[in-house]
Amino acid sequence: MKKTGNPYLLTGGILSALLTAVIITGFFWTPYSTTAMNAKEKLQPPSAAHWFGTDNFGRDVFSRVMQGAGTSFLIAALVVVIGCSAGILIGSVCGYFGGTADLILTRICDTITAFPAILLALVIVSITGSSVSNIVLALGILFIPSFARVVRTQYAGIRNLNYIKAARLQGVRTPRILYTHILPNTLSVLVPAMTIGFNNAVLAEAGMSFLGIGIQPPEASLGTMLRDSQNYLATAPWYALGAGFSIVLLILSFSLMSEGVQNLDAQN
Amino acid sequence: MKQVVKKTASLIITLFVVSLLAFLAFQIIPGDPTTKILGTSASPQKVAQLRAQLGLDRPVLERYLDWLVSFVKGDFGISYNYLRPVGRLLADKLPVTVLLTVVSFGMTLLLSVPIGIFSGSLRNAVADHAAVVAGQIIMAVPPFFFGILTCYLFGIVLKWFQPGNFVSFSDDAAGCLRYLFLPALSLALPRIAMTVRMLRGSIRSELTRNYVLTAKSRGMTRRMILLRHVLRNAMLPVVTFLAVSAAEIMTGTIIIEQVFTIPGIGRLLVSSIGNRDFPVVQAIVVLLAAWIMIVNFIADMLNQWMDPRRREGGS
Amino acid sequence: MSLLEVENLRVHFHDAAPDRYAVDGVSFSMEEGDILGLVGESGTGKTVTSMCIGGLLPREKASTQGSITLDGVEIFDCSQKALNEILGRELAIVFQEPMTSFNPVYRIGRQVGESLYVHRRDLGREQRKELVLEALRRSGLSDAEEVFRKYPHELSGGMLQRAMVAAAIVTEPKLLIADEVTTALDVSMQARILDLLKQLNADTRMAILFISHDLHVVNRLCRRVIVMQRGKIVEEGLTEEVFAHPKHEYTKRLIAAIPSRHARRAGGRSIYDGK
Repeated sequence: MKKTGNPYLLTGGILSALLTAVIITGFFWTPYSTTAMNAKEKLQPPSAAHWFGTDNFGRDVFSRVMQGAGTSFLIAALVVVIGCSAGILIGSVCGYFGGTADLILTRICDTITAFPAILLALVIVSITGSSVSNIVLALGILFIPSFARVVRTQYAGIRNLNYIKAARLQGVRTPRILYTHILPNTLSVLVPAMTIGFNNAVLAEAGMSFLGIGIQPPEASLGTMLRDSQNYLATAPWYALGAGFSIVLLILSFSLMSEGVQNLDAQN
Repeated sequence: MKQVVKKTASLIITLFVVSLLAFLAFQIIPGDPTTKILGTSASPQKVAQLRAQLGLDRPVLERYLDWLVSFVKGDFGISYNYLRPVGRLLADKLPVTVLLTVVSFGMTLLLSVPIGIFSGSLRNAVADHAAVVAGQIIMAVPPFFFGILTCYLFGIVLKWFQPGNFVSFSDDAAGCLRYLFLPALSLALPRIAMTVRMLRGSIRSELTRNYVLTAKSRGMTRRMILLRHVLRNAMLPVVTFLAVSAAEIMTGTIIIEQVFTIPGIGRLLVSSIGNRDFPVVQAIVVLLAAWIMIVNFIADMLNQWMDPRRREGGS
Repeated sequence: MSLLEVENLRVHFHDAAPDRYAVDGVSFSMEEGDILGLVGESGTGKTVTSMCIGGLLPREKASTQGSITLDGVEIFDCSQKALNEILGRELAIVFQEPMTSFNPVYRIGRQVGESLYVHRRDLGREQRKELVLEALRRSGLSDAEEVFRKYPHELSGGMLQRAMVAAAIVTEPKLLIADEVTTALDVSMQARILDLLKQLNADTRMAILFISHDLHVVNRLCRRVIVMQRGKIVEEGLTEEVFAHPKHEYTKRLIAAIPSRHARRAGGRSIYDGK
């Protein structure tokens, strides 16, 4: 096998960088106002002026996709941050120390991961009410076990390696061993887990918003846009296609990157 | 046998815990369900009367046990919104959802295993990359968007079916299955892609094992080795994953029923969440949870049956 | 005509340096009933040689030159189909790791009978089972019925290796390649496997190509020995003579490296001699 670079990483990286740039731009500037309605221009097909056409209120779909993707992106990123940091904390302690606490926590994690995140998130949000912070919190908590599991496995494997034993014997303090000696070694599984988690969070948020339980109007997310657009599928399919393919692109770029990272790992 | 008993006991305990958690979760909801039924201006006596009628005046644990006993008997409580027994509501909706899940899971199983074996045995690097990319693209399409796409393409452009015009199974079985085909496919596609990817990786890594070399040294063809040696080992992790898929598909119906306006429990769940009709939500959630855990249990048993190392004693 | 004739065998792995041959001009031959030892440190091309004889080196990984004929058939000219006819029937190979050479999810009986399943479809299920039981018994597993029903993880390494030998002899091949078969076993088990191979050779005239890094083990079993170093044959001859009067420096070092009394008894210099 010739090693001609890593097409997955390259394509995924470029796509993600482009999308991220567009999304960040969307936080500050969009070609049109995302809220101003314009009855004269409603449900216009795509054109040079409106790349993705306009919606039922005459708003520019591309501008709203930019903003909606921003909301989805932000939520997913926060979910990953919460899930990942708590997961590292729990996973590292469980994996490094083992024992009864490890047994119980692992069992709880296993049970939680057996349930699709969206189902539990629906329950939590239906109880606590839907707001951005509730969704982020609910998904974030539900994503902890998946991170904790991969981290735990790594720590359990590394804790008995000689260099860790040596560090212990030299009297290096435990937190330092946990997070400066071992943590960097878990990156090869943590990075793919993060991209997968990110994608799952995008999907979960989009699914919930699509059901009307996630982001509430007038705030836009890709999920709410798809929900609205379904009513105009016959008259303005570009609305649904614009929002839908944005989700596809967002997820695809990140999973390509994840695939690339894993291939990179396999090569070494 | 001992392990089966142990596993079963653990399943029952977990079911208990999950049902208790589900019950408690719906007890901490802010707001009183009587307000929902009687409105805010009801007299205190009427509220107290209703509370007694709904059993809300008794301690939580007692109510849990009561609820559990009646739940097991099939009495799921009264819907706040419809003021009808939840069991009756579910009985109308559940069969459709179950049918959709079964069809979709069947598709996943029947398509992913052969495709996975095929792609696991591919030796052409170009074809292999093509398969990986195709898988990535399919996995990136959320089922509900795929549903919308098929609604648009087959429903609006090609007019092969009318989205929203669901035919019930009892009226027209063939028509119902035909209507369920696209939603089932929407749910199944990403799961198929994931299972294929997993089975492919699993076969690849099994093919490097020593026992494969042994089999080769006995003059077995590649095909024979794949089917007689590798497949069973490669399927071990996949079986567990298929159980996850079954759970994901059942949950996925909640969303896909919205897309195709299928009158199943998914739509009931969403409208009940909107109406804060908690007995219905609670019943559906507990049923789904039980189902998910039973599927996982079956997968675990299947796994153990397939892998003698995980069995005890031998026969 | 010899049973096995290896002539000027050269093997080059595609990912190796252009002038680095894993096997570099190896020639030897074996007659029916021979026991030939092939010794050398790991990485000297012993296993690669045996893989070539079985046609088991993947073509996309390595290129080969020279000629190998088994019972008059040129291995390098064989199609995969023709090769599959030979493997497990004329030629059987037993590998180093008995634990991983068995498929963990199937019973021993099924796997020991595999060569019969592949090559003797004319036999019925029951007949095949009878042959398997007999092979197991001949390999020193007297409770053959019991072993037949076991899974690999339920047996010890020594028993598994015996079962492996049984799987190899079940079709009565003309040549058995035993590749480091005793390496993963403890000393007493090693001795029993060696006795078993010797017995089988005496009973059936089955030729054995015995590959090992352990001269002592080779000395116990083989009449003739070939010493390999870095892909080349550096010395060959009757085992006794090679032991008594090693000509090549490498052989001397190999003999000297044996940390036991066997080497001294065989006339070599042990590293303990100086004390």
